[in-house]
Amino acid sequence: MRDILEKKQVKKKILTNRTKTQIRRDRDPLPWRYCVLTVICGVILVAGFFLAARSHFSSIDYGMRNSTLRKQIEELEAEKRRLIWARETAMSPAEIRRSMKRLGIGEMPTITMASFAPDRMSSSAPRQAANIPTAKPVKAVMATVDSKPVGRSSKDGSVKSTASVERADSREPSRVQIARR
Amino acid sequence: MATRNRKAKTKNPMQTAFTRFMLIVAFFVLWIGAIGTRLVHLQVNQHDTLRDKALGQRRQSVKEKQPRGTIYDRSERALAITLKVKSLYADPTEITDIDATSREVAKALKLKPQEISSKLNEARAKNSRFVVLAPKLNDETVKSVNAAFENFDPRKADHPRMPGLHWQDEQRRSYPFDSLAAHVLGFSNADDLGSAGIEQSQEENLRGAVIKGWRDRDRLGRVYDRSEDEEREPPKDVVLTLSHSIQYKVEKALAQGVKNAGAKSGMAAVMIPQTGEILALANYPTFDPNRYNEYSPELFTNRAVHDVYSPGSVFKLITYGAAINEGIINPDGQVDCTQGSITVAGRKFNDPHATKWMSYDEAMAVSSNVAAIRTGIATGRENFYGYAKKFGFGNPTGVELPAEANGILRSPKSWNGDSLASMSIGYEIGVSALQMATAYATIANDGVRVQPRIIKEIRQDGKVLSSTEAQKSQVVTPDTARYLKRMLREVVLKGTGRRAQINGYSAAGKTGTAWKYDEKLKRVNEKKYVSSFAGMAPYDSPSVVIVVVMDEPTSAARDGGQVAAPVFRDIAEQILPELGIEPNAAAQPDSANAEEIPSELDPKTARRTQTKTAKPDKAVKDAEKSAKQEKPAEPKPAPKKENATPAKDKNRKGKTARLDEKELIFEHRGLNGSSVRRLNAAFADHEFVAPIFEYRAVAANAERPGVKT
Repeated sequence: MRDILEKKQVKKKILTNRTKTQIRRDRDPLPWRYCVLTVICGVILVAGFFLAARSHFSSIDYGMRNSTLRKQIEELEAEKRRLIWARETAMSPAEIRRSMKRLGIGEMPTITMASFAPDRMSSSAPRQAANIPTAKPVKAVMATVDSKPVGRSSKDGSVKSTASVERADSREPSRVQIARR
Repeated sequence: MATRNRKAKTKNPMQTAFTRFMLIVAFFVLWIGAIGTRLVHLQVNQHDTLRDKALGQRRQSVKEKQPRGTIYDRSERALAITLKVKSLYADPTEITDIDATSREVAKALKLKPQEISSKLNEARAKNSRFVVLAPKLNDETVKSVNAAFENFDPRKADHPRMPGLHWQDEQRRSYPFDSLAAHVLGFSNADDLGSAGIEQSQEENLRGAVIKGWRDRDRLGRVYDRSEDEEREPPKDVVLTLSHSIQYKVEKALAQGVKNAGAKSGMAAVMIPQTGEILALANYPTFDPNRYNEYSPELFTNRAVHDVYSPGSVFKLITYGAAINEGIINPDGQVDCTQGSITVAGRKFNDPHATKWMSYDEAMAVSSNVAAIRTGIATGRENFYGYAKKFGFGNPTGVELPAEANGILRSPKSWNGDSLASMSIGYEIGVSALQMATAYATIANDGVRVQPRIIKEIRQDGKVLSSTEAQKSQVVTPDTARYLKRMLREVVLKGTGRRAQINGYSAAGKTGTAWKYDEKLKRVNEKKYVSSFAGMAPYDSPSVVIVVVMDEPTSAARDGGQVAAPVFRDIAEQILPELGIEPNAAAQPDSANAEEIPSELDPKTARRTQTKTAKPDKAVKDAEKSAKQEKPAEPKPAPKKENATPAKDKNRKGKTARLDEKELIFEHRGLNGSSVRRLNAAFADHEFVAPIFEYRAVAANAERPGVKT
């Protein structure tokens, strides 16, 4: 008991002495440098990771854009070829012929070059060209209306008339003659 | 004891703290160690496996086929081009109801549902995941199919939005002008390999390379990285010398000409003599390379370069050309054609026009065989052969088309006694239409032969990689060419080629009508002809050479002047203005009827069978020596041959034979067989021809009806 009390008293003294005086200890300045260095390294490391990540994702982004542009180029080239093909097809004689058929237009005969010396050509006798197909001449007037012309002679050959018109024409002169009488 | 207990109980707290701290540190060390070990294991031991797995997830190896090069004409019109198309394929494992899918697909593509369902069922049975339902569809059809299936399954990421159906990118070769220049272009087959024409000969340039590489994709399928095993080189384009408009006009005129003549087929070639460029090369009948598998393979042959025919009188250009250039004949001189026929080495060559002395111009105009044969014999074998070679016969022209024929030109060592005579009039020789065009182009170009070419340049990405340079050689002098052109002009003005006269332009040319060699008969067949016309226009400075060949015309008039010359005229009248050639004001069209135009065919000659009797070559050699004179001495025409087919003559007894009054100059009575043989031997070395006396048993008192002596 007495020993314990003595020990307690000694401890008290030490503590009170301690509080009274400042315990000085030489501090080592190295840790501060280490801390700063560590911080700097850490910053560099983090920055490096950050830049690496950024360049990685931007390269992926560029890669995707590149791929998109390449695909676009390929599509445009394919489209260009298709347009060239469409243009050539539209202007090809076979397509023009098909279009004419669809529109119900008959095919024209082969057109040969017209003479460059019309005066001489007109004076010369026509060439015998038995094998060249020629189109039939179009009739000057075609009857489209089945009606009696008024006051027209049946002897007028400039107009082709239908049978009923012809029959009517044959009656007209007699009527006229009667009227004149 | 109490003190010992007290000592034991008083532990050092620092120690405890330190111990605990170390335990935690140890724990962390173990933990980190385990992680590190795992990392090392993954990174070192399993490096390859994991890398391959990662690559497999994101990397896709691809094979991309470059589109095939385009073929253009001289005015940059695309004659053959490759398009990107899509093929519809199905994965049967993704389809739940095959019948319903088949019905929908059949409806969209206008196919039979049974065919589609059987294909899909078959593929499913074989566990196949790829069945092509509709190959190589164009854009319009693809859009219509996509539109038809748009609302089927909106959740599906790609078109068409029907489960199990996908598009695959492919290529299709297309010929926008259909059958235009089909034989020149050729076609490429299903494997994209050129199988005929330029597609075949320029396969190396046109072929689209297969580029292998890989693509990295993210989880959404977007490509973010790529690489290719070889450098991507754009395909090469071929630019031809053909003009699509001239080709079209030539094909149309040729088709019409073949129909008018009732011919089996026809060929035409148009070229520029100064540069050798081929403006048109046409064959009839033709085919559509877009649907090549619907035609017989025989149609694919480019007959204008592959087929060889006997040119007939068209070849007289070379006969006269050789003689004039060697100074053997004077082009302003005359030749004896009074006999009506000529016999060389026992073979008789008839000539319906040989009735008088005529100028060479006239001889060419009426296509006199006698004049040509005399000229050929006078020229001599070696000279004749040499000039034929110089004009390009017997060798391919070198044009950039596959399967070009050499032609047939035998060496003089293998000639018979009458070969020179035959060749002088265009027999015993085989030429192609292009070879003939090249020969006439030589004369049109003042005697300079220019190698024909059909490829103008090879381009890549707009830059010219190579352009063809034509080889040139002087074959005859310009003066000779001028004489020959004059002679050819006479043919068109007054001779057999009057139907080749062009409105507004002057033309020159030569007709040709030859019996065709029959493979079955192993000789010429007099019922079948090859009729041709080779000409140039305008006459004074030719801008184009046109050759037209009709194979087996069956119309009433079958000679070259009637069936081929009009086609020449039609072609020339259409293309000369297009080429910007000023009309020649001096030209006048001829108003002659068809009947007034001299024909190369003699009706009598055409019906008679020509038989061949081999005679020793010595006779021809001697004839060649003496034929160097400008006006050879008038030969004694021979009586009929011993082995001639005897015809009926009512005025003669015993062995009867019909006597042609022109051929019989004299007859001597009282000769027996041995006397005839002695006479034949004596006249074997006659200066020009070898007359053959015919032994005929004649009654002593028979009357001779009007025999000339």
